[in-house]
Amino acid sequence: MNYEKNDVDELYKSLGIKDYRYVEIQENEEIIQIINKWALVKEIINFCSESQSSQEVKTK
Amino acid sequence: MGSSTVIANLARNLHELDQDVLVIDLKSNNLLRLHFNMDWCNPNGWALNVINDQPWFNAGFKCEFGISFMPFGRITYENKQCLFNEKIENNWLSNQLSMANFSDKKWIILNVESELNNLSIQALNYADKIIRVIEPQATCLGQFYDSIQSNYLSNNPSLHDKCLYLINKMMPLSELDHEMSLVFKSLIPNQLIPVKIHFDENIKEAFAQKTTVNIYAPNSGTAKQFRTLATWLMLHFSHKGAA
Repeated sequence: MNYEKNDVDELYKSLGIKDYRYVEIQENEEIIQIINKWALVKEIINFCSESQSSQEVKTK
Repeated sequence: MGSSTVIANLARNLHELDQDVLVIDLKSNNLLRLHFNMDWCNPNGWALNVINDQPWFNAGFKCEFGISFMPFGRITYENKQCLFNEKIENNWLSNQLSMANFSDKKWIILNVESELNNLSIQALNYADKIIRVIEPQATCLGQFYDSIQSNYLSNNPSLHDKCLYLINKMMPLSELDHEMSLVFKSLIPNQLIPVKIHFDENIKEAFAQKTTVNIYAPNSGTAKQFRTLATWLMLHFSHKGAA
């Protein structure tokens, strides 16, 4: 059987499973302030958020 | 990040709680054994046995406090390449552990390389639980994201499910450490072990004395934290665990 590259994403979606490549930040004001306070932390979180968003678009 | 030290201290505390523990060092730096007072010049270990076509499980030792451990052994760079490229086949670890019949051991704790190789991958797949030791630093946050977005972990949801994270070397007076631990807690609230191991000179001094902190400084804060960690793991995973 041939599998499309994004089949695993579709499988996760169909089973209602969150994609394991991503983690969600439990956002609250304190955490956001901390992330914005440290340049590297902000850069990493932003990069990963953008990566996650583009992946979500790709799998739609 | 400091997994050998964490495992040695954890093993000793589990043993003090009357748990049967076997520690197997899969890291080629071969340092775990020194926490258990093994002679520095002693080259023996399971990897050396495998290279010499001897039974690997004959490389077991027991320290003076009764903990069973299996050091990696001292091997040359060439032998290490031979070990990973020729000797360690698919399912080698699970086959060997089944053949060795360690069923009397309640806890088999594997000290696994942070880099993925065919042995560490087998260990991750074999383990009931994976404890990833992290430090509350921005570098560790980058590594954390890299690891969960790597193909191997992302393609194996079962690995993600059995991962727990332990914050190690936390400096309680450091603003950055405190804030980074909050960031990690917000990222992995259900997988972060609610015990943090603090940075402590006693840990370094205990290693320099070839022992663990609960022997060297039993009343120190970190000795108490390792006791709490062992108790927490016992309460949550009373069957078999691996790190």
